[in-house]
Amino acid sequence: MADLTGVAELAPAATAVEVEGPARRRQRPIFVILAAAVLAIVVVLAAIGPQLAPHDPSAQNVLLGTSGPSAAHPLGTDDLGRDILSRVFAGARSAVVGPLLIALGAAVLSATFGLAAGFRGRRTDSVIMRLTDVGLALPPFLVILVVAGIFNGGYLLAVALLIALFAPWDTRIVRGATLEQAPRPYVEATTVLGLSQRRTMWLHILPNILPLIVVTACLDFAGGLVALSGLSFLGIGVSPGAADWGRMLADNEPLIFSNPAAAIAPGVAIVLTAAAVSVVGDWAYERLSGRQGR
Amino acid sequence: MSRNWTRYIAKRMTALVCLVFVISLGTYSLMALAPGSLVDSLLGPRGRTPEAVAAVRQEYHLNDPFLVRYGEWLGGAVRFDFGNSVRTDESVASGIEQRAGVTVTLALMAFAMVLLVGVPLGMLAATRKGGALDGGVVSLTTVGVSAPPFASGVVLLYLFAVVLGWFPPFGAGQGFLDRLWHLTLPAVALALTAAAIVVRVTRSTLIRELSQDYVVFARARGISRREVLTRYALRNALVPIVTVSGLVLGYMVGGAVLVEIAFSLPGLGSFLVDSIQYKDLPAVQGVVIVIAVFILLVNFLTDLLYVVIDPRIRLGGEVDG
Amino acid sequence: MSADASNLSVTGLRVCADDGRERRTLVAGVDFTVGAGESIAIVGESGSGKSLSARAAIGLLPSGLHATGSVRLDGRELLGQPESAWSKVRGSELALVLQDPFTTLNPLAKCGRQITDGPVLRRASRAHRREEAVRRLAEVGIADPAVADRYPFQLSGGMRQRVALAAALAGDPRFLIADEFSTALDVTTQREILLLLQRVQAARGMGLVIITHDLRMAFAICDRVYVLYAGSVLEVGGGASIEAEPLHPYTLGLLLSEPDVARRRVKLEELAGSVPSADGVADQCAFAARCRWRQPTCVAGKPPLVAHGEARATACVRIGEIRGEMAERPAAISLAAVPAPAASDAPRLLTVTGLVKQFHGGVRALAGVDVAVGINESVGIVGESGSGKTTLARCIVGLERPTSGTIATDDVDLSDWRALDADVARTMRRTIQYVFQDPYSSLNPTRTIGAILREAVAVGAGRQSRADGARRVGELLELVRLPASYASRKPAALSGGERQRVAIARSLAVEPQLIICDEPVSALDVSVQAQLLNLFADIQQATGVSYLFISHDLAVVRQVTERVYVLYKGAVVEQGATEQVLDHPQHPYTQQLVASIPGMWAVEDDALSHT
Repeated sequence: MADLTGVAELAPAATAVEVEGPARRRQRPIFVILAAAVLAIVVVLAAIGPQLAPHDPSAQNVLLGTSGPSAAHPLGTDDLGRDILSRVFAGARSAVVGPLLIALGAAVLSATFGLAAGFRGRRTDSVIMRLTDVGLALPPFLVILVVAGIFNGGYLLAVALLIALFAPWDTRIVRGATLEQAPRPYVEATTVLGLSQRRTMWLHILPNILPLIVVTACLDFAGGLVALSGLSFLGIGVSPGAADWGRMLADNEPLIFSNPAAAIAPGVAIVLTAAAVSVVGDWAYERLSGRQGR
Repeated sequence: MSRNWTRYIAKRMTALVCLVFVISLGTYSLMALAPGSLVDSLLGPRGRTPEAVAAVRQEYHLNDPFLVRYGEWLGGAVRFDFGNSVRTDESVASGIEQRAGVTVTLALMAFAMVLLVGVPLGMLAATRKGGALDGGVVSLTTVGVSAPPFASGVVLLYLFAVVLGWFPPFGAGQGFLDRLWHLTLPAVALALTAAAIVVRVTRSTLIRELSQDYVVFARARGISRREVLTRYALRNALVPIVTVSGLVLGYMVGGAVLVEIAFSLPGLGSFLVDSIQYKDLPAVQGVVIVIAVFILLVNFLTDLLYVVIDPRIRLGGEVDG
Repeated sequence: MSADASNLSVTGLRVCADDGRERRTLVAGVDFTVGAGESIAIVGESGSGKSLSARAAIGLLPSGLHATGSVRLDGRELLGQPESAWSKVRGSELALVLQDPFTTLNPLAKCGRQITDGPVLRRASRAHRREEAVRRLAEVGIADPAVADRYPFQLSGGMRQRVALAAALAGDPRFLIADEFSTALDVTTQREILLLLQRVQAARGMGLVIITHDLRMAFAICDRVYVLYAGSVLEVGGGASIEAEPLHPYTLGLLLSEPDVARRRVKLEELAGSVPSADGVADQCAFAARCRWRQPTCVAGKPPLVAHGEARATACVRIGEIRGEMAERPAAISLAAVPAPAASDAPRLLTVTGLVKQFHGGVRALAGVDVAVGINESVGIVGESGSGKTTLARCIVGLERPTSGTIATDDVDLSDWRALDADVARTMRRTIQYVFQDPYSSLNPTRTIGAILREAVAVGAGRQSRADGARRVGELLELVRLPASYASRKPAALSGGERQRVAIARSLAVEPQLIICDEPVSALDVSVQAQLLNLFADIQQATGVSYLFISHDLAVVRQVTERVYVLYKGAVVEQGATEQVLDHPQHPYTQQLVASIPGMWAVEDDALSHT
């Protein structure tokens, strides 16, 4: 730590994922199973939700208007008479596709740049650090809000922006993990054997930091879900009337007095999905680290 | 030896100023890149006669070269003059001033909640590691981390404002106490996720510190468990906790926007959203710059705090035996 | 034993790890006693339970571990008491110092503050505290009062241990437990620290418990030695008498497997196998599986510790019968001592000239070093930390870039590996290989042994068929005396010694002419070390490879090398045939090094000898 800027620069990368290390609590199996079940349901809904729904998610019934939970509509209807439950089902698609793309995109980018920064040494490292510096300076949500808002951005623009904004954080994490592995003898042994840098990074270091990449990807998924639904809550990125959980939260908030289920259900869906992904991510981290015999 | 840390501060300050420049340039470029929206939003679809367009372009200097416009804007920005809001036709600066109070109060309340609840709870969980309390805390934080402020805001709204009626559901209130009462639910909503993160980081950092040799050695000398926790372990755990607190404050800016919309609060966040939706670029630029400077200042303060906390930074790094 | 009533007495100590699913025994019934003014040693290799016994005696076991049995201080039972009872005793009656100087002190508090942080001195005035701190620093040999205002990171390892000692003694305890206190320090500093411990003990009339893996050190300092193995005490006795005649096959084996700085042996005594878990040997003699004198009686039940003459005890049931045979073994081995081969004038394999390495921040690791290695030669590089020996090794193999100087083989200049032509580099990689110090991070944890070796073989031989690769891997495993079935295992399933063998096999895969071994046995237990040192010798016989052997341990260097260079602060201060340099050191630093070895102390220092 002779370089004083090193402390502050590493600090943003010390997210809960890294710092948690030895303190990780073993998941109770029941929670993991529940989380996996929730995720499975959400994925199924994302794929064929609208078909499974009891009613057509966009079918309006203006005469009925807002109504509370009933036999025909377990979660009631919104101000246009649309069935809430069906809309929650339909909303699963935008809650899964976007975050999945974000998690994968950020993982690929961060693996590529993080490995290079941690392993290839000084010059590559400082270039990448400078780039990520800019990305780290502002909270992702704000940037996306402004950019997507100004440019009338759609869903895909928001997804692309989130990939671009999550990648710097993840790159720092991957870089940190790579820096931890790189001085280890088994990595130096590949240099002594004359193996190529690329081979060392991808075939030797990467498998050892895989648990970290997986759990970071899961956290990116959850974060992406939260960010995207936040954007649609504000009316950005999703067309009006679309069955998107964030959008529904905003649209149905005024209905809180007449049909609270309409306002609460989409929120609960978001929280459950994000929490489930976190739990599964933690479990995957434990299993993968355990396999390495640590 | 103190040369080291003055150099460190100077370095960070320069980085800060550079970053502000970059961000200001970026924000300003948005306007240039955004497809003619300023003209559109002023004139609407029907008023787009060539003369009207030319007049608007003249008034807003849209014909000048980019750098000139940027320079003019930057000059104004430094004097806290961001021009006039396209939407309200008042000065952007005064708009910001009016709204800032609510947001600042909200953020401070939430930050206080995060620190006063988050750190002690994390400490408690760390000292009772493996127990039922610890398990409960970890489960709660898993949910907390996944609950975005707008979702928890709506739930809180329903429970405490609609069902129990303890707090008002909308608005920011008049007068100091009334304002605090109005802002309680929004602050809690904002604080929830951040608190969950702080609890987690505090807990895991403390657990790590408590298993270190110097803790064992301190107890071996007869120092009590409580003292070891507060004077040894906690002090050493401060750096990650301070880091996270800094991050949390930055995060709150984004969260505040969402919470203000959910609770219909007339703050900076809702001002920003309204401006964005209206394509009121001067206002957007003004708010973004103010927020950016604020966040960068917070980061800078955190860096300063490191220097105070950790003598290794102050006195120039490691010595290896 | 002192007639004083004051003593610390541990009886029937058992320590178990209970993580909810399984219960592991780590200490299986250990007894020891220390009286005021006495010093005892608890000696054992890794897995013996020595450190845990020490922690249990002061009530500071890591979480998840539980102790049963009895720990009595002056007859008062402590084990099982609430934390408040322990708190009263720690610091004021019992004290503990730890192994790692870099983690034992609070990094954020000044040294003086830490020394006076205990319950006794904490409430004193600031001035008084400073005074006390300075006084206690002087007691541990630090005369400069400014140290009290420094932070730990500003001090060297040896200084930090002294500060830690001062802090531990601040409450004026009657008994001090030193858990591998000097292990992490250089040999020369070790000696100073141990002498300091002795002085302090004598001046205060304290009881001293020394936990160590180093038998010779225990013999040199302590009145009584307890030998621990797999959680049980196998032998007890005075240092000199155990050294003269060990009464347990394990102790004998341990003594014989240590390399001797005074002479080279044909082969070191090997204890085949490795340390079992305490649970695995619960109903038998812990050492039976590896003992050459094993009989059915040894595994019929757990042998008790039985007194054997004055002040000695052993847990070997057969000692009566095998005593004579055991006494013969040292002689049998010494007789076979081989005179060190003379340094040859053979053609040079590697020549290093004027090598300089300066790091950023001004640290000069190498200040002009000249070294040469011939064909089929084994050359040693000896030095302490900061001598530059590891930097030298790393420069030769391209892991560091020298600032100036040359490294060359017959026809290739290796000073800058990065500047080499790709083909040339590839050939050189097959000529010079490297074995690292830490076996636990030398192998990729996510790959199987077979995959690791196949990859290395591919470097040497290019792409080959599956069958060829497997065959070659089998050959390599055989060469390092590991079963072929290991190829499908992952490193986590292997012990430290086994992993190091795989690392050696990996370096042999390309059929190099020179292997640079960077402290390859320092991280291993003595009994495992012996296995590997013998292996190194056998491999050299079989393949004709040369070694550049880096070590801080003179005895190891004696056993393995013909020629040696002594490095001090980045420069070669002495060189020559190993035998010559170690028997008749010329340079004062070499002399100091030789004199710091525990076995050599008694020669210099009368005050140290214990009978």
